[in-house]
Amino acid sequence: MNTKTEENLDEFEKQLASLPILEPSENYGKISAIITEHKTKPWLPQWKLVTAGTLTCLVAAFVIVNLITSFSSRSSTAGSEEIQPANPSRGVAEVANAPNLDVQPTAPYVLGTHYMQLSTPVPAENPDIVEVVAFFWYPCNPCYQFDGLLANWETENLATVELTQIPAIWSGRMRFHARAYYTAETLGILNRAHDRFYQAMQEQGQTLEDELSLIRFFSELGISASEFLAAFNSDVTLDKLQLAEQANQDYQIQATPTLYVAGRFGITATTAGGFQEMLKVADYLIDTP
Amino acid sequence: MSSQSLFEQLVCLFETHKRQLYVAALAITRERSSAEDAVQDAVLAISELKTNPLDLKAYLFRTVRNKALHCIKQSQRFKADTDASSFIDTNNCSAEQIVLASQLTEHLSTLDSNQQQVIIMKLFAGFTFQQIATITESSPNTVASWYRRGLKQLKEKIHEYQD
Repeated sequence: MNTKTEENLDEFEKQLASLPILEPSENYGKISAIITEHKTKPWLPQWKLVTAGTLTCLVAAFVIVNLITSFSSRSSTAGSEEIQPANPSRGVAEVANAPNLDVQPTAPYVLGTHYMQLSTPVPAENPDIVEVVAFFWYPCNPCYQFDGLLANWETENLATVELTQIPAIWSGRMRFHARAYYTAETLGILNRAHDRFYQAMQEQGQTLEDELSLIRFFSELGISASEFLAAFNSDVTLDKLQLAEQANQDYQIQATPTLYVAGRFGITATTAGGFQEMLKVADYLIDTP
Repeated sequence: MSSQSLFEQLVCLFETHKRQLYVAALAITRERSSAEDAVQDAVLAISELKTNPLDLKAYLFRTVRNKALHCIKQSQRFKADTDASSFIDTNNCSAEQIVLASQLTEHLSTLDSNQQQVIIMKLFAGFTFQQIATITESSPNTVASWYRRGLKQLKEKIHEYQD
C-alpha cells in the first residue's frame, strides 16, 4: 500500500514538474555584464573628472566667444545681419526697476554681444507661445547654479513661455547622462530625479557614468533594477535621446548652460554677462517680435 | 582574498546559477519581476562587500532569499493569497496542464510557506534537499519532510477537487 502511494506521489510530482514556469526577462541576465563593466573599467579619479568637466565647459565657452567676436565684426562690416532690439524700452524699463543690477540700465541687448542668432532657425512647434530651450549637463557646475534661477524664472513666466530642458550632448559621457535623464522621464519621476542628479554629481561627487551607478541611483528613488533597465533600454527613452541629439545639432550646442529663445536667439553666461543676465536677455528677446 | 576575486566568483556564480537563483526568489515572491529584482539586489549588495564570505554560493542564495522576503514585505504587488499562475507560463501549457496549473494555483497557497517554497524550488529548479537546507538554514531532513508532507497535502487537495 505504501509503495503504491509513493508511486502515485512520484507520478504527481512529475506532472507538477512538467508545468512550465515563467522564465526571467531579457534584462535579468544583464546584471552580471553591468557589474563586470563597472568593476573592470579603469575610471579616472574623481578630481580629474571634475577638472576635465570644468575645462571642457571653459574651452567650449572660449570657442563660442571667439566665434561671436568674429561673427560680430563680420556683421558690422556687412551692415545687414545684426538685429537691433525691436522694443528696447522694455529691456531698459525692466533693468531700471530691478534690484541689484550689474548691467547698465541704458544698454540695449545687442546681437553678437549679448546673444547670438542661429543662421537656420529651429521651427517652433507651438506658434502661440514663446519656446525657450535650456541646454544643460549635470556635471557642469555653472548649469547647477543656473538651474535654480531658471526654475524660478519659469514659474514667473508660465503663462507666456514654454521652457524645455534638453541635456547637452557632444560626447559619450554627455550622451549617457542624457539617456539617464530621459530614463527618469520615461519612468515618470523626472521632477524628483532632476534635482537628485545634480545633488549626486555636484554635492556627493558621484559620476553616474555606468549602468550600475544608475541602478543604485534610481533604487534610491524607489525604482527597481528591472524597472530601471526596462526604461533605460526602452524605445521611448532611446527615441527621446535621438530627438535630443538632433536638437543639439540643430541648435549647434557647444557650451552649457545655453538658452535659446524662439528657436533663434542663443544666450550664454559669457555673452550675457552672468546667469541673472541670461534671463534678462531672454526676457528682452521674448518681447522682440 | 582580494575583492577582485570575490567579484569574479560572484559573476561566475551568477552566470552558472542564474536560473536557480531566480526560482529560489520566485518561490517566495511568486512574481517574476519581484524575483528578478531580489536576485539583482542581492548580487549588487554582495558586489559591494569588502570581505569575502566563507561560502559565497550559500551566502548568495541566502541573500537572494532575504531580498525576496524583503521584497514581498515591501511590495504591494504581493498578496498573501497570490496565485501560482503568476509564475506558471500558461501560454506554453497544454489543456491538461492549464487545468493542473489552476489547481496548483488554488491549493499551493493553503500550504505552510516553508512547504510552498521547498516544493517550488525542488520541482521547478531541481534543487536538492541539501541545497534547499543551506538556503533556508534548516536541516536536509526537515526540508525533505516539508517537501513530502506538502506534496502529499497538495495531491490530496487536488484529487478532492477532481473528485
